[in-house]
Amino acid sequence: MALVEGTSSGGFEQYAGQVYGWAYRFLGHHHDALDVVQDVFLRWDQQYSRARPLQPRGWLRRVTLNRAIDACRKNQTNVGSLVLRTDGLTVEESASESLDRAALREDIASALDRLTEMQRSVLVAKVYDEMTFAEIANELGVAVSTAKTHYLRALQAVRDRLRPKWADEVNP
Amino acid sequence: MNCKDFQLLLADALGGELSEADRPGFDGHLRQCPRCRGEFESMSAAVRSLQALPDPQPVSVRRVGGRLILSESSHGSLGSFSRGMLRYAAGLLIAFTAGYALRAGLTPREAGSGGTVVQVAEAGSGKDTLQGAIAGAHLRNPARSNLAKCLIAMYERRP
Repeated sequence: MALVEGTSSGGFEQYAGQVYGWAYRFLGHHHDALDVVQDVFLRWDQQYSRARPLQPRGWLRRVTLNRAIDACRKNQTNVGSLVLRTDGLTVEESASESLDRAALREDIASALDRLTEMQRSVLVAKVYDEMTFAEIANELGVAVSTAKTHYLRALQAVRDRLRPKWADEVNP
Repeated sequence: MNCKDFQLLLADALGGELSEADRPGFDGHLRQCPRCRGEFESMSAAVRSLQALPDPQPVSVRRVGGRLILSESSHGSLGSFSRGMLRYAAGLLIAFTAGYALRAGLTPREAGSGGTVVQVAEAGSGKDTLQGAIAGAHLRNPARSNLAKCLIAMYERRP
């Protein structure tokens, strides 16, 4: 067995729930999110064998978002991506999730795809992890003002992606 | 407060960190300047859209040997789920649970303890092992991950 407790994979389980959450938020399907968790775990193991990241959560968030966005991109090219899925534990959630929400998720993932890794990380840390700008800046090793700039740029990208849909809702 | 000052506080306002000292000036400019108001409202709508994505179900994580097992702790409300769909979902749940347990080489006792086993995430970085080679192939081409996972499981179940 390649893994030894406390060395090569040390600490991953502490963050695994968050990794799952970040992935699930943009993929919307349990098993897709678990695939990302597994990918990230493999990368963590490789990274850890060289050097433990100074900011493990920041490193994991960045890698997870990259993997999740990659997966979203693949899903968007899949004809069945908007079909309600019934895979195992996601039955209840999928059955009740509207196509509107699935479309919103795809739009947001598409907007995030156009952001830099830093902008993406700041946005997710702020909106979903509810961190302060000071905490985000400390974790990412940037100035607080830089974190705020990344946040605004990221929000603008999401807004610009969604704005045509809002116009459709106002003028159907 | 002018538009430039307003822009400097926009991130704080959208991020819920606007100080009490800055709020009156910010709100005052918001009422007076249609352009800044439009900017703030559209950015606020973007935040609300992001927040509209549902929270993931909480998972618990535990280690069994070199494996990490993620278990869902609750299943939430069933709402208007029909009995037929409930039975269908239960069947799928059992089938997937059994499938994952078998694929990962877990015994039924392991699979049934402490929640439903929904995934076994495993990493092998030893380059001199078959598992390490498979893990490397998986990283190079994640699209083939299912094959890689099955090979890993088969390799581990060898006597």
